[in-house]
Amino acid sequence: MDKPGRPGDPPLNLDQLDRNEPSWQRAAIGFILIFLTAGAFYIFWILLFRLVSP
Amino acid sequence: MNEILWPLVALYLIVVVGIGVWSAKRRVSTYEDMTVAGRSVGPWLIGCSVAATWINGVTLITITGFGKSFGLSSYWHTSAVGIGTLWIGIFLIPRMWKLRVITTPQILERFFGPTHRLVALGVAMLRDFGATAGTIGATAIVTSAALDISLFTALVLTYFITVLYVALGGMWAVLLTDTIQFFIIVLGTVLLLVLSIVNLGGLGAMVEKVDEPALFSFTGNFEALEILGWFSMGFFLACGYQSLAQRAFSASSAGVARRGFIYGGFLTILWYIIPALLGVAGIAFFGKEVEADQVFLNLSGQMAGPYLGSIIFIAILSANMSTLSSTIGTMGSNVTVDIYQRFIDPKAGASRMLLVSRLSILLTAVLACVTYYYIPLLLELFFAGGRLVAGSLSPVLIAVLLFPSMRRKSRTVLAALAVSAAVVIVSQAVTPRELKAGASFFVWALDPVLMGVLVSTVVLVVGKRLERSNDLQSQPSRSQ
Repeated sequence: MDKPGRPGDPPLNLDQLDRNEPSWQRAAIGFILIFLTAGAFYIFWILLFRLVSP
Repeated sequence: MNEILWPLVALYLIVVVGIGVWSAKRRVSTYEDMTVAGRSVGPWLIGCSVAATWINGVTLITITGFGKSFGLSSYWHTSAVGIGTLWIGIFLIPRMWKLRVITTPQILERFFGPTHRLVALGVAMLRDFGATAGTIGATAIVTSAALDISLFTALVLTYFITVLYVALGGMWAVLLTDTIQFFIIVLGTVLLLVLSIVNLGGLGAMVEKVDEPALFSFTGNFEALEILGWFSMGFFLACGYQSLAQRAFSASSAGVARRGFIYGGFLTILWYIIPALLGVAGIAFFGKEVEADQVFLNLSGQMAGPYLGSIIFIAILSANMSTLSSTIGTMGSNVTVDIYQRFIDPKAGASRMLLVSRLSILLTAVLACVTYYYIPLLLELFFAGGRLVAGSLSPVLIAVLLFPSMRRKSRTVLAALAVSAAVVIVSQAVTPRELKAGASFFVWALDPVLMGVLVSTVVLVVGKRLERSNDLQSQPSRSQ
């Protein structure tokens, strides 16, 4: 069985790794918010072309 | 060819090589300076470099071709890389930075061991190798046409200049030149778009001339599953794209890395609407019969006088060189850190590592040049390896970084990586696909990335329940 890390690597402090970092639930909500933001930009262009079309 | 093009190209090439020489003298003394800029870079340099990495010559030509074929709905794919960049910037990148690694495969070894690293290395290098070969080819084609030189000469010129500044200045040179290149790309493409719209008589006239409402609709001519496949490809590629992550490793802190990716993600999301609009403008100018991959070059020829034409050519060259320098640099790091230092000479000194790093860059770029001759579909070179990363490495990285419990499931993670990679490879070979948008992009009935992500998720969820945890903290190498 492999051992994690290799000799000489600094110790892996898992508490430090996740400290002050968002949980997976927040990451899921974050994805939806980012998707909606980019979606709003896309919809802006769709609506702009609807508006200007003769 | 106009008479000011050569002097402008020469000036541009002197500047990028000059940056390489300056970085080599002032900034690069260890291989960590070479590969991750000594972990001392600020957020704007990272942000511009991230955005420039997402834009290359194939992007300008082929994504404009998507715009011609699919209208605004091509943004479903292109925006996804920006959305993915922004999302990993906020939720994954700071954790990656804290691991103090140089390459993405190293992350898996930090949690699990060398086998995981080797499998991840194979997947990541396939992608970067395809991207490098594709970009070298695209640069050579455009340079050859613009400067009226042979393809071979253009290939040698592209190789020599890019490798020179990357091998000398490493990540510092890449970040600085990327930032300059990003501004040239934005200037060139925005000017081209504005001129195209003005020449057509405004947006309203453009819509009237195109006369195809589907090109301006929310989903275009696509099925939902096709859109999901396109979006997944872009999003998951961003999550596992190691050239991108390496910019984060160059940041001076985890917070700076996060901010850099937020800037880069937003810039990418904003810029990627431009090729879609250029594609539609191309129909208005040249009609529906024009070849998709010719739209960008035809528009440039039609709109641009000698000055703008030169800026657009340098924008294409810049776009290619920024992507090329990223992938060459990353593959050089893979060979140096993941192979040479890990398995051949773990006790190599600083000067030896720096030398190996520079030689690796030369070698990988030569191999990419040779590969380009044998595989003609440029974008497929990117996407074949890209799908592998997106469908197998990315879901595993997301799981390991976001779910602490997965870091104790060594066999499950290895199985997810290997099985999903196999599924992506097999489904790329057997799934029905259709060649659309000119001659360089397939639309899949069921995108192999979706298959890979689905299989990977199932293996991870089932394995998490079945496998006994490995206690990470009790492993002896943790404390060495």
